[in-house]
Amino acid sequence: MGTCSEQSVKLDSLPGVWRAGDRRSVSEHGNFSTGFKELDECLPGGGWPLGGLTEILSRRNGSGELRLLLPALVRLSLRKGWISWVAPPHVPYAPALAAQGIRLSRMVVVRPRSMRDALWAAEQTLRQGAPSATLLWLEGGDEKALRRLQLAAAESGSWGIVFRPQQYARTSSPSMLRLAVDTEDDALRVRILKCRGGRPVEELHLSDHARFRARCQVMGDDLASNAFTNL
Amino acid sequence: MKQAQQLHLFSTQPAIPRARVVRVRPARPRLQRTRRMPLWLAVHLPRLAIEALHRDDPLQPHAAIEASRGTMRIASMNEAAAASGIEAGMTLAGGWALLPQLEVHEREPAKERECLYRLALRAQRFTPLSTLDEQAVLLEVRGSLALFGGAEALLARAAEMFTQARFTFSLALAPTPRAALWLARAQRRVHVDAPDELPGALGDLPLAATGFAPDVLEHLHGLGARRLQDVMRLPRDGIGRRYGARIVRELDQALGRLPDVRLPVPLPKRFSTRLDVVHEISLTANLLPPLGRLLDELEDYLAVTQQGVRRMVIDLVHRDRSITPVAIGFANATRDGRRMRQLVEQRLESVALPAPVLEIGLKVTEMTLLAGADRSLFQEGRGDDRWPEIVETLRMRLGDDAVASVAHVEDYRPERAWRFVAPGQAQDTAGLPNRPCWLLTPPQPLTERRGQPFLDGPLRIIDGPERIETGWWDEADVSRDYFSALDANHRRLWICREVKTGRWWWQGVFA
Repeated sequence: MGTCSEQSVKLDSLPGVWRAGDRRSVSEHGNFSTGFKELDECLPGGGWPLGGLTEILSRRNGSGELRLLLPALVRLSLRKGWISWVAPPHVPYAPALAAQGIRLSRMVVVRPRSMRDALWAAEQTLRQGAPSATLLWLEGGDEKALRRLQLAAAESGSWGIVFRPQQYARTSSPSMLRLAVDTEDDALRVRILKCRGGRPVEELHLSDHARFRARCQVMGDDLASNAFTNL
Repeated sequence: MKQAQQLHLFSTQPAIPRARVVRVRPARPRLQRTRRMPLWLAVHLPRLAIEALHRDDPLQPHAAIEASRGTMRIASMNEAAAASGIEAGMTLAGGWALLPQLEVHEREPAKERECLYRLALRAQRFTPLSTLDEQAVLLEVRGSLALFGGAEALLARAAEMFTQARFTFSLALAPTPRAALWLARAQRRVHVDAPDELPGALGDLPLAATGFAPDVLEHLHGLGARRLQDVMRLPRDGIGRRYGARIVRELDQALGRLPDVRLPVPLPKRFSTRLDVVHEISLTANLLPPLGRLLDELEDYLAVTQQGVRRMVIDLVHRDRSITPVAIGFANATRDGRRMRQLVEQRLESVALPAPVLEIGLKVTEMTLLAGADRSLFQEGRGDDRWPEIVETLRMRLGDDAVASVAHVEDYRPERAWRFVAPGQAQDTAGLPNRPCWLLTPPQPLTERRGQPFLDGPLRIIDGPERIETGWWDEADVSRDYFSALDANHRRLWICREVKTGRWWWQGVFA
C-alpha cells in the first residue's frame, strides 16, 4: 500500500503528468490568469494553459476575441514576453493596443502570403520559450497542422492562440483548450468546448465589469480598482 | 684575447630595460616577462613564393620566377621540381633546359603577404601575439603551453594547422623571436627554452639562416665565416662599421640582449575570404561543405576580434566570372557558427543557380563589437536569446517587409497614427483612448439607409461623435466625425462620416 501512494506522489511531481479532475497540474508550463475571474475559475490551473494551443472560434473577426485575450497579453508584454501576431485579419492598431497597456516594443506582426507560410511562421515563433505568445489567424487548417503547432508550443512552453471560424467547432483538434466566443450587448459570451483536465462549460458571460477590474489588477493599480468598486 | 673580444662584443651591452617592454605592451602576455621568459614559435615557409601561387598539384613540377640581375630566375619551386634538380637562383632558361615540363608562375609578393597574413590570423587560436616576419609566422606561446599540454603538443597542433593549409614549413621554439626564426630557417626542429642556451644553439647555424643581405653574407664568407659562431667572434664595432648597425642589433636581439618588440598582426577591419572549388558545383546543397570552411574561418576571425556579424554576402562566381550574390542579414549580430550555418543553409534553399559555381567568396559587410558573452550561452538558447534567431528565420523566408512591429505615430489622422517599423523597434507609448484594436486599411465605404450607416444591416450608433479635424497644412486634410456602432453581429465597429461630403466609412473594429 505504502509503495502505491509513494508512487502516486512521484507521478504527481513529474512534469507533464496530470490526473483527470486535478485542477492544478494540467500544463507542465503553468498557467496564466485570463484576467477574468469567472473564466479563470472554469479553467484547470486557473488560467490560460501555457505550453500548448488555445483555440478560439468565432463567427466573425472582431467578435470579442481580442478583448478576451488582452488582459493576459498585456501582462505578458509587461513581463517582456514577445507577442507574435501571425496573419492577422487587419492591422493591429498601435495607438489602441498601447492604450490597453501592451508594450508595442514586444509585439511583432508577421504577414505571410499563404496559409502554409502562416503555419510555418507560427511554428517558428512558438519555438521561443515562455513567456511568449503566438496569435495565429487561420481560415482553415487541418488537425495535422495544429498538432505540429501544439507540439512546438509544448516543447518550448510558449502559448499559442489560434483563431478559427466557428464552423470548425465540430472538427477534432489537438488544442489544449477550445473556446467559442461571441459578443452580446457589449458583454463577452464564452463557451468552453474542450478543456484538457477540465470540463466543457456551456455558457459564460464576462462583463466589462470583470474586464475592467482585471485590467486594474494587471496594471497593479489598486486605486483604480477601488474606485471602480466604489462606483 | 679572442675571448675578451667576444665578451666585449656581447656582454658589455647593458641588460634589456625590461620595464620598457612591459610598458610597450601592457595587456599582452609579455607583461609576465619579469617573471617568465617568452617563448617564440617560428614557422618558416621556405616555399612560400610558389605555394602562395600554387599548391594543389604536388606531382607536377612548378616554380615561381622573378626578374633578378637582368634575367628571369627561379625564386622558389615545389618538391617535384626540386627533386628534378631545379634550384632557387637558376635562370628560367636553365630550368627549362633541365626540366622542359616545368610550369612557371610569376612571383606575386602581394599574394605571399596575404597568405602569411591569413596564416598569422588563423594562428591566433594559439596565442593573441601572432605576428609575421619574412616568409614566417611568429607566435609567442609561453602562456599557451599549459593550455595545449606542453611544447611538444603545441608543436604538433601547429604542424597540423600548417599541414592542413598545405604549406611546406619548419618549426622551432626559442626565447627570442629572431633566434626562433633563424633556427626554423636552418630547419632545426629544436626547442631552446632558456636564454643562456641561445649562444650554443645559434652558434652552430649556417650564416644563410640569418637572412642577412647577400652581399654581407658573401663578404663574411670571404672572411672565412661559415657559421654564426664565427661572426660572434668578430670585433663588434668592426662589424657595425663594415656591415651596418643592423647586423649587430639583430645578433643582439637573437641572443636576447636587446629588446625585439613584435606587435601582433593587426586584425583586418573587414573580413573577406574566398575559395576555389575543386569540381564545379551545380546544386546549392553541395555548396554547404566548402561554405562551411569559409564560415569556420569567419568564426575564428569573429572570436579573435570579439565581433559579431550583422550582414554578409556570399558571392557565387561562375565560369564566365559572373557572380550570383547571396546577401544574408542577421537581426542581431552573431558569431555563433552553428547559427550562421543554419541561416546560410536556409537562405541557399531559395537561391537558383544560373550556372555551375567555380569559386565562392564570403565577405562581411557589417560587423559590430560583441563583447565577451560566452558563446555557449548563445547556444543554450535560454528564453529571450532565441528571439533574434527566430525573427531572422522568418524574415529570411517571408521577406523583410513581412515581419515588423507596429509603432504609434503622433498624428491626429487615425490612418497615419501608426506605421510598420523593424521588429522590436516600436517605442512604448501611452496610446490613444477610444481607438479600435483593428484598423481597416484602407477604410471601407458604407452605404446609408434612412440616414443611418448600413453594413449587412443598420449600424446602431452607441458612442460619438468625436470630431477629428486636421491636416489642412498638407494635402490630406481631414474633417470627420467618428462613432462607435454595433453591427448585426454585435460587433463594435469604428465608423466615421466625412463632414464635407456626408459619406460614411468603416475604419476599425473594437475587438
